[in-house]
Amino acid sequence: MSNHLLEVKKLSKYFPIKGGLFKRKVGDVKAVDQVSFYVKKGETFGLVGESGCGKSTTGRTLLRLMEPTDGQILFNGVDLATLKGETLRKARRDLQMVFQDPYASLNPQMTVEQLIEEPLNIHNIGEKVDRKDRVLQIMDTVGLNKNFGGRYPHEFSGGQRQRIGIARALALQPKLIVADEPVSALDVSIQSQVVNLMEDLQQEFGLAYVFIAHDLSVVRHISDRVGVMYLGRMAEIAPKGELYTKPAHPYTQALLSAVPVPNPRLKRERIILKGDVPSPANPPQGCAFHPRCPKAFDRCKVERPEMIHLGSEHYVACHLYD
Amino acid sequence: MSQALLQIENLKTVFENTKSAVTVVDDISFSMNKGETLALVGESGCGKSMTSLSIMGLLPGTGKVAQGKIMFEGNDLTKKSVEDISKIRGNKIAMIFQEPMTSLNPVLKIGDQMTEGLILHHKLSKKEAEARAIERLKLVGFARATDIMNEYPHQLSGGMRQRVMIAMAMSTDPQLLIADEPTTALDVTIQAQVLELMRDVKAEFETSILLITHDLGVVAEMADRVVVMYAGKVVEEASVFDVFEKSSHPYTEGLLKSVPNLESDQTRLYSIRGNVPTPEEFPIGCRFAPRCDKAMDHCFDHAPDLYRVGDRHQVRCFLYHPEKGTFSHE
Repeated sequence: MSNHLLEVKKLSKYFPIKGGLFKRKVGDVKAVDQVSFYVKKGETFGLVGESGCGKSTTGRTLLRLMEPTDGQILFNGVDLATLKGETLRKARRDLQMVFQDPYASLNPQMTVEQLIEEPLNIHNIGEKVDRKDRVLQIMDTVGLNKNFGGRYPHEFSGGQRQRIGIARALALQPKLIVADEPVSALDVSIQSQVVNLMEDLQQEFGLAYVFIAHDLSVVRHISDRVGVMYLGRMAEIAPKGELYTKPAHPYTQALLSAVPVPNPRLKRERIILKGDVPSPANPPQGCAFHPRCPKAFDRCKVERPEMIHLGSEHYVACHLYD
Repeated sequence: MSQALLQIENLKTVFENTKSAVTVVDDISFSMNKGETLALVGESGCGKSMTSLSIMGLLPGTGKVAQGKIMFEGNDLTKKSVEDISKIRGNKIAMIFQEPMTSLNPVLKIGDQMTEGLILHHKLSKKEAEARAIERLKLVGFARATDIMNEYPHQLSGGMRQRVMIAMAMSTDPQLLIADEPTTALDVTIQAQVLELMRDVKAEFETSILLITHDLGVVAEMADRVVVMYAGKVVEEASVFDVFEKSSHPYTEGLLKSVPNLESDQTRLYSIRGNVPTPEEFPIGCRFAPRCDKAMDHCFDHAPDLYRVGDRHQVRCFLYHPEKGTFSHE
């Protein structure tokens, strides 16, 4: 398994629900519930699902921006979940994050140059005099005008700000970038610029991405393999070609059929799911998807499905394939 | 054009302060027939929402219609008094917004909010209004409509709230429903539910829908006709088939090519260079010229008109000017 850059094993993140007179713990919101997957060197792993499915929490837990409740996060063989203090900080150099709203994640009182230089200062990389050159070089790489280094985030458009966010992540030459909805807030024409930039950077630096998004078309475009999450659990993992042409999990099938396609002549068979996603504080017994599943049978109501290997790199958590 | 339900003529919407005026909607014309769904498409800042708010007479702050006509059933809405407009609004013209939570009152029960307009506009008794509200809630798919009447907005999910908004909008049998990004805040599976509901409602009541969206997939699925806006101007108007199959404006073409395809793999996405300009910095000449791959010298200092390229298909681009050959190329 040497080509697995990141291997996540049974990762869980529970948030306690407190209530009653003494604010005692009365339950858990199982935001991420025993999720396992791996990311290979230089590949893009897409993580999709609807709001509340736990995809963002998974991304944040990977970087220990949130503490995992249980499970292992093996990065180059080292379990990040157990690291502390200085060792954790050093390990984090190799893992960086890009957020959905770059404006909220950039300090408005810092100039672009300062923003991109900050990670270099924190990790004490290179000589002080060289850092400025490095910043200019990174700005050039992500397509920011070098003359704008003295400007502040508010002077940039959404797409440009996302470039600043990417430049910051790139400054430490990481091996893996977790990108949480990096293009969702952008207009269509700007979205494709940022997607193309991320692909170019991957080529140039051999980066691996965990690309978290709800837009299935964008995920198809950028990913090599895709994981579909539902209610804190992984429903299906497959290489993208297979996931989009031969989805196995009834949820994946419904999700794909729900996406409106920009072709007015195409009339697709649509699986309309009844009802809403249940609350992760009180997930259904058995398979989390069974109350909405058109193919559910008795076993689904009582027994939680394990991941079943369907061949090559295709895995599905569904009793239909047992 | 006697059957046009809504006809916008040379609409210009301006935001004024003491020093300057910013034109956010610039000389827009289009018309909608009864029972037609027209999609108003464009990126943020193109003026699509401001166009709909102009129609509703709900422009925020210092915004006002500076010029043009909004003909609805033969009457010019811009000439109407505030009282007359409010009689039409929420009655013959209804609107639903992107985020239903901000348009629902959090401290009032759904039932009270649904019946308020009916009692006010339609002089129904409380009982009649409640019966109508329950009927419409059932129509939008609430099996337990009577219970929903007694619930508060926070007790409902996003998709349910949007369905309540649609039920509320449809409670007065409007001729025109303006839907401003109605599914943008919703998840795809919930979006599919809401879009299907809007199609059912349209079929049952022959309501015309003015659909404002940036999602080309939603456009393809819902619209009969499409108006593409860029920087406050209409750049292309056509049937939904012509827009997707014979799109003529370089901006429309670029938008369609920028969207990743769910059905097949592409190696690289097309991208339109540069950024969407803000109203303060709209270029003179063609507003798309600085980002256009096909721009000619002429485009940078002359503003194009809409030129006809087919049946009910118009394009604002010098490439379709009848005397295009006389312009110098780069």
